[in-house]
Amino acid sequence: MVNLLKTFGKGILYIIGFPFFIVALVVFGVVGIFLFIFHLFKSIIYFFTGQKFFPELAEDKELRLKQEAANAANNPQPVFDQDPAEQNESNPAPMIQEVKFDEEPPYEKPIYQEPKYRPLYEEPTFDEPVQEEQVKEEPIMEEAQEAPLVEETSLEQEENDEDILSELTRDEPEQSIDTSSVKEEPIEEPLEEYIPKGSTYIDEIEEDDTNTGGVDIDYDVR
Amino acid sequence: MNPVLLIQLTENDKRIIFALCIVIILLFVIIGLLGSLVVRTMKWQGKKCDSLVSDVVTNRIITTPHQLRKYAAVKNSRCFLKQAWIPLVLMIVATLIIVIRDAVMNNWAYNPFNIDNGFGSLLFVWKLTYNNPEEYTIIFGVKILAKWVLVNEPHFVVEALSSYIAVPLAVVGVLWYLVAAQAYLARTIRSWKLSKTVFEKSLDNYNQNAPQQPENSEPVQ
Repeated sequence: MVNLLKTFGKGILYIIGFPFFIVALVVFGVVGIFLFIFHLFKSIIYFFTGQKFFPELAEDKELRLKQEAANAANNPQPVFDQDPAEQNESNPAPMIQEVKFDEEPPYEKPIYQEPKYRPLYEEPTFDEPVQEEQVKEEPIMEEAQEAPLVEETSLEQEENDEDILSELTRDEPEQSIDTSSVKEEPIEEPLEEYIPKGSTYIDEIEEDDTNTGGVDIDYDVR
Repeated sequence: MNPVLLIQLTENDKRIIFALCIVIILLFVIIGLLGSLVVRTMKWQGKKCDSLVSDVVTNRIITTPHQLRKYAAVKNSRCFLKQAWIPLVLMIVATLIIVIRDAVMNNWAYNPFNIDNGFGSLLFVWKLTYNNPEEYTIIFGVKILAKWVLVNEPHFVVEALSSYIAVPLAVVGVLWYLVAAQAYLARTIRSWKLSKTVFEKSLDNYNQNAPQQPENSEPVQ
């Protein structure tokens, strides 16, 4: 019952505060639209100047540098290529410990960190001799002699064309045909050359003095 | 004698007054519950501000309330942009649809909510005409409005197709945008509260004159 009355009281307060809440919401909504337009143009400029759409803030940058420094201090990169002769008291040689296979090693595993930036070029290794590419000498003159001339090619083609034409036009041997069984049919006179109605030959040009060429078009003037 | 005291309530009147009181109390309770829901939602939305500023605060990069408010304002606005671009695009698309429709039909006075060829054609619409005597009734000798006339039933109109697409898009976009604006408001309020509480120095339960135990002292047995 007490909770119900508390909620009842809150209801009265919320009814009083509701208009203020609506005003604040509308103000933030309108401000948000202007903010959106402003940030949109700003971010477009950032984008076309090669930066990120939302560039890193100064505080974020400081935080990142701080975290990187802390990571570097907590996880120093192990030095593997040190000459044992150079080892001194400050950097003694690691002690060899007997480790059982079933147990986990007592020391911390070194964490290998990849370098964050790589050199732009790979350094050349001089251990292996660089194999030069063998330049193949091309026999220019021999190929030139072997290559047929253009004129000769055209002559050969003409000869081949003549052979093909002679084969096509060669008279076939006459075959003996028995004409006794063939009935002679009346030969009809050849039809006149079919000319569709309304058409004329292009070659036929009307002899007219007024013909100056082109196409005559009659327009209906209404 | 005061005439108010002379009013004699019948049993029926007492029941009506009691029922009205219960309805009003229930109404306020429901409003209170809804308000509590909104407040809880805004607190939940404001928690996002904590995650935005916690790293720089815990690493002591920001050390003053002013710095915190400034940094939180930039972070909040960026978060708002990420949340608000989709509803803004929806609203822009809805506006473009209506503008293109008006340009094609050459009717710039078109109301997309009307009941003839707008989105209202899909809704039940009641209206008070005030001139129709059938709408009135007499209660306790007083003539009051008692009936609304149904002026539209849902029906499909081809001409209103653009409004059928644009109006739902606009409504969804506006509601979505208001939720994003509410979250923006909640984060801003939260950043103000944090700027006051994070750097607060409290002397509660501290007494300078209280005897201090020396360090590394053995506990008395």
